[in-house]
Order: sequence, then C-alpha cells, then structure tokens
Amino acid sequence: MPKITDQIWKRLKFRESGIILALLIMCFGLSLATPSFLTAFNLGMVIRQVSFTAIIALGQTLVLISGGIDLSVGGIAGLSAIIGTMLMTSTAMDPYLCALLAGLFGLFCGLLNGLLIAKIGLNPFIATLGTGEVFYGLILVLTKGYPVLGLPKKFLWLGQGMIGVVPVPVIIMILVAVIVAYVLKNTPFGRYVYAIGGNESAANLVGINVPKIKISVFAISGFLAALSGMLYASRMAGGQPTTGQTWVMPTVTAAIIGGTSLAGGEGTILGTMVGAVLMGVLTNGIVLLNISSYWERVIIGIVVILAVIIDIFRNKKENNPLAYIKKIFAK
Amino acid sequence: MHAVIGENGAGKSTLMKIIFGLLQPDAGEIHYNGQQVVIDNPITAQRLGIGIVPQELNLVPQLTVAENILLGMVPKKRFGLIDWNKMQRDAAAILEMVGEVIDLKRKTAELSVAQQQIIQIARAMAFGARVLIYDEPTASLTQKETEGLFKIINSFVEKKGSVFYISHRLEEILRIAHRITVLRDGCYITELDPKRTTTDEMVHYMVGREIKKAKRTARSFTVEKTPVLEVDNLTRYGEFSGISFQLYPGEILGIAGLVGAGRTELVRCIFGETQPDEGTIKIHRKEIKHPSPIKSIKNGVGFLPEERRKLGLFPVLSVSQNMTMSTLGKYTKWGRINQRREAVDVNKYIDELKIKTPHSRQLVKNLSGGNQQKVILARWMLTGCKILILDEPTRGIDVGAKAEIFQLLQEMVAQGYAVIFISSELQEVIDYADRILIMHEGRLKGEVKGIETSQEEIMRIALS
Repeated sequence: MPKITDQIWKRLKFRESGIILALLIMCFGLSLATPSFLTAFNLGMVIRQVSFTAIIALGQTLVLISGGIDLSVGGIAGLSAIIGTMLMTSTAMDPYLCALLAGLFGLFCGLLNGLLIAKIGLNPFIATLGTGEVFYGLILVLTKGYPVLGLPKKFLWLGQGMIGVVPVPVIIMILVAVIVAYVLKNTPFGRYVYAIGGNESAANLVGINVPKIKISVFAISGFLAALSGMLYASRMAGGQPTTGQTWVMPTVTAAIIGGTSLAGGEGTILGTMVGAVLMGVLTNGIVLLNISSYWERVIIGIVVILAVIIDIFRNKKENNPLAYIKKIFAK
Repeated sequence: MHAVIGENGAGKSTLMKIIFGLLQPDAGEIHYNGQQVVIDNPITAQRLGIGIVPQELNLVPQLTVAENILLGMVPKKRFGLIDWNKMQRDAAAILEMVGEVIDLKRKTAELSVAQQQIIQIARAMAFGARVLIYDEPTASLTQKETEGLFKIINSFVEKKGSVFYISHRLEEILRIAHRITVLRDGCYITELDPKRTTTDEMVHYMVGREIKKAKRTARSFTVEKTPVLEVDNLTRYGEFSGISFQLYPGEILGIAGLVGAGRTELVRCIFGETQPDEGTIKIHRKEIKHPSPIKSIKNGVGFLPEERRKLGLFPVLSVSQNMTMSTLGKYTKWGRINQRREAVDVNKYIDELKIKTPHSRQLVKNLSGGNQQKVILARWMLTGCKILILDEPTRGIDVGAKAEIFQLLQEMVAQGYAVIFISSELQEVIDYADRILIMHEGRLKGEVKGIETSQEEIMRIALS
C-alpha cells in the first residue's frame, strides 16, 4: 500500500503547485513581518489592484498559448476607456450601454490584430507593437492629454462598488477567469488553441481553421482589455489618457510566472491567476515593508527570471534543483 | 565499422547520445583508447575525437558550406576577425579528405540532403574525429547517394577510423558492417557477425519474436467500381506536371520514385495543403475547387504526412487529444466536449491498434515513432475517412511496428478504404501496393502491378 504522504504529495504535484507554494510562503512571510498585511482592507486592496491587469492577462494567456503575443492590450484598454467615457459624457445613452460599445470596440481592435497576423501574415510581436502605438496615439488625438471627467454616478458602481465584502472588479475577474478556464479545458475552441500553439502546421493539416481561431483569440484579448479599461475608468471616475500605458508587461509576466510557455502550446488560467496575485502581493509587500518603491521593478524583474528558471527545471525533470544548480556551477 | 541495431525504443540513439556527451549515464564507465573518460558534454567528445552525424542534420542553412564545415572552429586573424582565406583553404582540405566536391561558397540551404550530410560528415572530420557516429544516415538518401556515403565511410575506416552505425536497413548493414550489436528494450542482446548472419536472424534478435511477412495475395478489384478519387492533369509549376490517375476503393496505390520525384508535393496538393496550377481533383465524382485540408477531411480524405514530428503531431498534447483533434465535433454538445465519450473511443483505438502507452493522458512526444504513427492513423480512422494518403508511413519505425502498420493497412483496405502509399523503400511498395505509379522528376513515367514487378523494373521505368 502506498504511503499516505506519497498520495498527498502526488496530489500536490500538479502543474501550478510550485507557484502556489511560492505565493503561500510569500503571504506567510509578509504576515509575520507586518501586521498590516493580513487585514481585510489590505487584501481587498491588493486583489482589486490586481484585477485590472489580471483580466487582461487572461486574454494574454489565450494569445500566448496559441503561439502569439499581444502587445497592444494596453493601447486597446486605454483607447476603449476613452471612447466609452466620451460616449457617456457626450451622449444621453445609458452608461452601461456605452461600456458595452467600448467593449465591442476593443473586440474590433483585437479583430484587426488577428486579421493582420492570421490573414496578412505579420509577426504577432511586430503587428501588435504597431497597432498598440496607434491606439496610444489615438488616445492623445482624442483627448489632447486631458482626462474625460464627469461620468454618470450610476457607472461608478462598476469599479468602486462592492458585493458583500468583495469589490465588483474582483468578482468580474473571477467570473471571466472561470469562463475562460472552462472554455480552454472543455470546448473544441480551447483544444484548437493549444493545438495551434503546439504545432501550427499540423493544426492546419488536421483540418483546424487556423486563421479563424487565431483571429478569435486576439478578438477575445481585445475585448478583455477594453473591459478592464472600462473598470479602471469607473474606478478612477474618469477616462485617464494614461490608462493602460504600464499594463502590457504585467499581463505577459503574470502568464509566464504562471507557467505559460512563450513558445505556445502550454499554459493554464489557474497559473496566470496565481501569477497575477503573486505579483500584486509582491508590490504590496514592497510598500508595506517600506522598501523604496524604486526597487519594485528590479524585484519584479528578478522574480520573472526566477520563475522561468523554475520552469526549466520542470521541463528537464530535474527533481533536485539544488543538485542542478551545483552542476551548473561545477562547470 | 560497428553497426548498432534494434527496434525503435531499444536505446540506440540514447546510447549514442551518451557517447557524444549529450546525455549522462546513471552508471557505468566509458573507456576511450584504453583510458576511462568522462564525457560531460559534446565539446569534450569532440576534443576526444568523437563526432556525430545525427539523423536530423544540424547545419545552419543560411551559412555557406565552408562556414558550416568550420562552425565552432572558425580560423581567426588578429582582433578576432575571421580569416576568410584560411577558412576556404581549410574547408577545401577537409572536403577533399572526405572525397567530395561541393562549391564552398554556396548556401547550405541550396544543397541536396545528401550533400548536406556530407557537410555534416566534413564538420565531424574538421574536429579530427577518430570515432564517428552515424544515426540513420541513409533514411532520406537515394540508392546512388547511399553508395556514395558508403564509399566515404569505407575510406574513413581504411584510415583506421572507427564508426558506430545505426540503421533500420538491415541489408545495408550486412554489406558494410564488421560487427553488429543488437539492442532490445535498453539491453544488450547479442553480437552478430555480418559474414555469418542473415536479416532474418537479425530481426529475430531485435524483436525477440518472429515476424511473419504479410502474405502477398493479389486482391482483385474490378474496374467497374467507381473511383473514389480522380486526378486529372494535375500540375504545380516546378514541382510536378500532368499527373492523372484514379484511385479505387479497396486498393493500395503505391507511388514510387527517387527522392525529388515530386511524390510528396503531389499528395500535399491532392490533400489541399497547396493549390494546383492546372488540372482537377475529383472526390466521389465531384470536382473539388480550391482544395483545402478542411474540405478534404469533410470529403473523407485523411493524410499522414512525411515529417511526423513537424507536420503530424502535437508533441505537448496527450495521446487522447492528438487522436481526436479532427473529430472533436463528434463529442461536442452545447459547445462542451464530453470527455467521457471521447475517452471511450480513444481507449478503443489504443486497444485495437495496440498502441503502447501507459494511459491516454500520456504526452504523445513520449511515445516511440511507431506508436506515434498509430496515433495519427487512429486520428484518421476516427474521422471515418474513406481515402487515406500515407507519405512515408514507415520512416524511422522499427520492423515490428512496420509489420503491425502493414497488417492494419491490409485490414483497412479489406474494409473498403482506398490508400495512397508513398515509400522510399521500394520493396515495401512492391510488397504491399496493388498498383504502383512510378514518378520521376515531377512526371508520371508508368504504372505497374505490385505482384508482377521488381525493384529493377521500377527503377528502369523511372529512369527511362
């Protein structure tokens, strides 16, 4: 009979166990180091902070699994937020209808990315780098750099409201995560996304409509970016022209830390969510521990590199990381 | 000249990788020239004088021949600049040692596979290799190129070099090897003397069981039957031209020809991966305009491509996911895949085709070549296709798995499948195809019946 500890160990050894463990250790350490970490207020703040980029990271994960990358998510989020808020302030339409239109606009931007990549054959990195610049630029064209203010009160609930003790954006984040995870795991579409990322030529030969799936993936990414942009506008009670400018890297980082392969074909939503929360806790910890916030990016950069190194261990099936490190240095 | 043989998964390549320092042994020692050595990486191996000509060549296609030969030991002038003149001279000297003439300034990508292999050999020589490992060197060579390779190997051996030679082509080994080591399931089985052994005996030790050669029966299929596939005057400029033939249900139609005859290009076009410039394709009497893989599959065509890893498999997906990739619609209701029903089908085929895998969730990349091929076959059988195009289905597969795959094919045609079968191993085509189309340089040169022909006849027609 196998030992009970073996069984527990086997249960724990799934894909994301390493990063979940890392997150728990970090939380445990922080709660010892400062009493203000483990409070409902602080945790609520951290998770709400995370939710904006986490929602986009979910779309980014889809794109990465399919073998692409979407660097225009920041631009789409920002431009959609501006368009949505402008509609609210300059027309009499219901603000939530405006938000929906902004979402559709984001979807359309993603569609454009998808067409450039899947139909014309641009490299995703270049294509979205370019369209992202265009979107950032259009924000300035539309706003001249001034925020769009005076949003309807009714709309502020989306970003500032609470359901019970949980902020609305967090609930939306969880909802979207559950839906995307379900789609990835249980639908043909999800299967095809993994297949295209794993081997695009083979995907074509087994009869998968590769361009269609790729375009859909970018469209979803665009829609989620716009959704996040609207949540942020509601939270800030205005359309800020700077919305989304620093959002691209965190979305990629969350996915990578969560085990998504940059080469495509591998990755999970659970991993990305944990990755996003881990980064949020990290940032929070830096603030709480009174470390100069100038160090934040340095630390996050190091964490990303560590995460990728851990991923290499996993792929090499090296059971003992310490022995592996010794071997590296022995050379 | 030491040949190492064994079925796929016997551990040949793993053993060679250990000798070349790509993998580390868990136990045991390596002695080189009587001294115990630790080969911890390929650089150490090269320094010792061990070179490898891998199955999948690792040249840099964008670089010239000379650059590829001297990759890693480029002659330098002061300030670290490359000494181009010396490079040309060195590369020429090495090529001469190999006994081949190739323009040093050409881009490697422009060369034939055989020439690229020679460059790979030359590179190993450039490091002063005394021991050369050849992993399936003749898998994609023509008869003539193979002869050329043997000449090179022989002259290397005459100069007191040693060669490890891995191949599935047993006749070849009987001809050129001095000793034969047989591996099975990672264990040393026996050593054979090529002067005294036979291919049957080699196969016997490799598989540990006798393989009965499929009994050849001429199936008669009447011409009255309507063809399932008709190809008329199909042409793709620069690849093949004016190809016409019919495919009938219940037959295996072989396509024979030398490498570069345009066989792969032809079937890729028929499947819709590329578009024809001229001519028509009819499936079940219906013309297919603008063929595409999606249309072909809908019309009941399956395609097992030549390069399994590159075009056939999703390496990081499971056996199950690989198998059902073309038929997910079958298990999907309200957009959700019913994974229980999927598993029923998958397990059925794992049993029926005897796919060796611990469970259906195993990643397909961990399976041996023969089992991977079976997964792809199962994928097409699941689609309920009626026409199956197999491009080199037995390449890099061991004898046991080959026999199983042919067994399977026979059963399939008995059920009414129509099969197009391409293989570079002429004997295979002769043994299993009912009719054989012979192609050469993009043209159809003739058609023969499998049961009445011989390798010589086919070659004669091809080259006539």
